[in-house]
Amino acid sequence: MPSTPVTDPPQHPTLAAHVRLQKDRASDAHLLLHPEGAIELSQTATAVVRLCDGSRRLSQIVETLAGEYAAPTDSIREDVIDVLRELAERGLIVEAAP
Amino acid sequence: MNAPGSEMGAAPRPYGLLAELTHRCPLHCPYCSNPLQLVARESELPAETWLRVLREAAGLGVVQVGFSGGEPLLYPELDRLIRAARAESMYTNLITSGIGLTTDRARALRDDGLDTVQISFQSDEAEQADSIAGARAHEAKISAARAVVDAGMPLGVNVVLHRQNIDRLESIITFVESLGAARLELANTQFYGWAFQNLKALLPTPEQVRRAETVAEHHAARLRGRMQIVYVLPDYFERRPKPCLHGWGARSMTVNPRGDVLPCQAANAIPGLTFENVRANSLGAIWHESEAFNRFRGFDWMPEPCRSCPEREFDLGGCRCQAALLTGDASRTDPVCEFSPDRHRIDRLLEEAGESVPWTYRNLTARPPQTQT
Ligand SMILES: C[S@@+](CC[C@H](N)C(=O)[O-])C[C@H]1O[C@@H](n2cnc3c(N)ncnc32)[C@H](O)[C@@H]1O
Ligand code: SF4
Ligand code: SF4
Repeated sequence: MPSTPVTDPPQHPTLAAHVRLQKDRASDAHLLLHPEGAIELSQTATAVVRLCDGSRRLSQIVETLAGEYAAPTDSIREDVIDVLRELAERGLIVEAAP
Repeated sequence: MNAPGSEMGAAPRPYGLLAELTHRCPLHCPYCSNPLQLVARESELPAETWLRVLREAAGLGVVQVGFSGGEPLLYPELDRLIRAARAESMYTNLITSGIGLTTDRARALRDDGLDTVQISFQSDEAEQADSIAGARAHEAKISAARAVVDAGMPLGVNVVLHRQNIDRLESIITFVESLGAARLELANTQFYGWAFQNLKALLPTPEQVRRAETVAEHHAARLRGRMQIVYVLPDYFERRPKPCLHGWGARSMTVNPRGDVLPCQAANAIPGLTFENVRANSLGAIWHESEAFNRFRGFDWMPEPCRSCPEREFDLGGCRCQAALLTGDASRTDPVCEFSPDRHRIDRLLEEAGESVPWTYRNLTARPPQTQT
């Protein structure tokens, strides 16, 4: 389909039902496994996706990571939004059921 | 965050394995992508060999396996294979017509470690669906879909689109929504195998394709976050080819029911290419060293116009099987490409689309004259 407009990232992100996060046996990377194959996550994406278990809202993910990495909240927020938006567009991360 | 193995110069690693367990199938879809020369039951691999294949695949880096066919539920030891794949931490997907998938069977497969099930439907409407499948199947598929949802597995649905059903797209989407699917793949027919044989009966008109695209887009947006819609573009109607398989022998492989290892499930279409078999060789040796896997790796095989085209980094010159089927030479530029000297072949097919011609149902016994070992 032609390019979709930029969408909001999920505010309460969780892995889609058909997606599994798994450490790769053959490398240090983490993979998102899905029915059609696998996606290799960057370190940043891994840090974000680990927290997408439906128990945290986007804002809490940002706070948690800002604490863990002792980094400015604004730049962390940007990274988190980028990761979530891209994975949501691929249908791998969705809005958790209310 | 990248599609693994897609970076330039990355060493080829198979992430995905398509395990075609059997070509036997209770349906006769004229759009079936299986080869014309189907593998007979007597030649199917025994489960012991599949178990070895799965172990070797895991060792090569495979993390996802699709059990397909034909109808994989007809393979007697499917459950053992699923357990073995799961024991190797692979993600397991059952790609099925749904025939034979009762509630008990779905629960048992889930307990074996099956991650997800993808059921194919021919239409939303029983009469049309059964006439496309060449069998009474639609109601059984609906029960199978319920069984998957009841068992708590995420349900995927695949609908192959062609001239006969593409105008029903809207009701197809609402039908699949009502089944409780997590994911819907709307696959415009790819013309390989039986589908290529039946091309004239299946090819939609450009108007049909344009309408379908608008409908798919609208509903993909409407269902965002609830049901994922993957709309697979119809190649022939594009001006540039897809980066087929993310590169030949780059990220995935197919093992067919007889044990031949193919870079792509349609690679049988390539004249003169021979495939090695897991009965005689290890999967690793075939992946790394076989002629078939090395034939179109990288860029060196490319002729002009691809050779000097900057797009080659992205589309990898398109699909080899398509080039073979349409030009007789798998090393030519994919004829879908607007720069291909063979593009007129596709344009001619598109001009003729819309004629009403009968199709041939897929079948195991009455084999068409084309032969391949
Ligand atoms: C060849 S079938 C085998 C598994 C099973 N018999 C089924 O139909 O689901 C594998 C998948 O490919 C889809 N398919 C078959 N022929 C196709 C074609 N020509 N183009 C695109 N997809 C196709 C089917 O709908 C199914 O989802
Ligand atoms: S696409 Fe149809 S004919 Fe082909 S294997 Fe699947 S159900 Fe059987
Ligand atoms: S000429 Fe080859 S590389 Fe260039 S766009 Fe066409 S298929 Fe792609």
